[in-house]
Amino acid sequence: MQTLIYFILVPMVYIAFATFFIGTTIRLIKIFREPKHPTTLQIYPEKKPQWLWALHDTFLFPSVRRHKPMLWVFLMLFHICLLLLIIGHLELFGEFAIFQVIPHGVILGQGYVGLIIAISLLYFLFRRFLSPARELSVPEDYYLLILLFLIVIFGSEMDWARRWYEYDGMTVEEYREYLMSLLLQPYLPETVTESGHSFMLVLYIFFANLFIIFFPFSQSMHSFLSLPMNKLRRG
Amino acid sequence: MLVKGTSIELFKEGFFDGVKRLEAEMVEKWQTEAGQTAIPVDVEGADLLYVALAGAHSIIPAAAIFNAAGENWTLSFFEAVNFGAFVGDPSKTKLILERIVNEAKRLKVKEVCVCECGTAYRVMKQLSGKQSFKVTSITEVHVRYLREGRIKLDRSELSGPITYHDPCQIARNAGVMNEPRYILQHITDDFCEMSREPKYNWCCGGGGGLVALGEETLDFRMKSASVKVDQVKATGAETLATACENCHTQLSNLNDHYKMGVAVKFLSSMVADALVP
Repeated sequence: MQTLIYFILVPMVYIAFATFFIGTTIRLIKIFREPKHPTTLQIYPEKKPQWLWALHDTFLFPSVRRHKPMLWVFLMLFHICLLLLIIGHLELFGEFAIFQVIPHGVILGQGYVGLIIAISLLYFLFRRFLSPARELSVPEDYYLLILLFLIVIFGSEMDWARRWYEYDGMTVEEYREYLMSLLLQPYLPETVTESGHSFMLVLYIFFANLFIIFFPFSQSMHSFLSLPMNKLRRG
Repeated sequence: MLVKGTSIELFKEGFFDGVKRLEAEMVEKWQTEAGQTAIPVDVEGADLLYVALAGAHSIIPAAAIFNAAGENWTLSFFEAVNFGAFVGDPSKTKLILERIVNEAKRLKVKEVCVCECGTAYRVMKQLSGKQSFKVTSITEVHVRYLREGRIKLDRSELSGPITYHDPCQIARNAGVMNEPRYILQHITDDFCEMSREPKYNWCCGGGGGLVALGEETLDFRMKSASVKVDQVKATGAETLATACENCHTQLSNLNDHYKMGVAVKFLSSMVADALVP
């Protein structure tokens, strides 16, 4: 058991990040090396400035807003909460003055960010059991959503216990210690492996690693490709 | 050795004969200046090369308007439509495109004007590369003539509400959206849009050329385009104008199938009919 826990918390993390960096780099290079399309892929009417409208399309999904407003609301909530979570996780590596523009404790949102994102994921998952999303979905769609939901649920649980139930068996500092140690000399503090919440942490890191490994081979690559695609579309 | 499609010289005589017959048809309706050829062909040094479709409806009205505007133009030997593009064959697309480009270069024209055909315009505009001539659609040319006062149109010619269908290849994919509306404002007082903005007009459902490839797709095309029928019926229009051959065919099919009760017309023929001599 101890070796399994160690494997998940240390070597698997290295494997995950290596796969992620090498995988995404190779995939992006392959895509950008493809020959240029012979005609323009621009749609009309033209709206200028084109780069600004490309950004607008990428981050505000106007077509979705027009045709599926409910889905649009959950999509916006999901992506905004995702951004907040990314900022929060960066803060686990250290203090960044820029993020503390609005002073807050580490991991923004008082636990509500995790809750909102969990509900959004359930919405995305369950809409795929109804037509027409059901006919258009492939197994990857369901796997990805379930995986993300597991990550969010285990991760948020740690946050909720700390915020709402005053659990202090495992603190942010100890987590930071473990995380920073991964860079040079892996060290697992006792509370990380032995406290009551350790199984939550280990499962969380396990599923997160799976997601990171899966990332370059999945539709999550839209995070890199959405902006270039919209730029092509706008001219 | 005779190879299909390559012996261009052989058909030139027959082409000239055909054009003469069209000219006779033309001068019945539209007066031509004495000494002016109604439909000039193979004129080196012309300003504008008009590439038409293989049909009188594509040549005669356009010719009438060019003559009324006093344009120094010439008719192309080749038809504008690119069947290579319809079947998705890049080498044939290029072959058909290059015939027209080479003719334009040989005749040293300043402008190649493409008839009312969606794919023809888009292929010519976006695939011909950098050339010494510019590529325009006939709709844009007519707007130019109106703006410069080279032609005058009679508003009372057409009655009843008119609406316009935007061909995908010309509007959403190539940007010609304001020009048809400018023309229609000069032809009628009773123009109505199908939707809030031109970009929300539905595609006709003709499949970008599938219409031209046979009757097998008729069933599917009628089923998939029922939203277009709703859009047209909601305008209450009596005339449905469009600027694309295949859209015209598809819309006519829809008109018969769903009993829309509209008259489907080409924009160029409407302009020609409204010409003030």
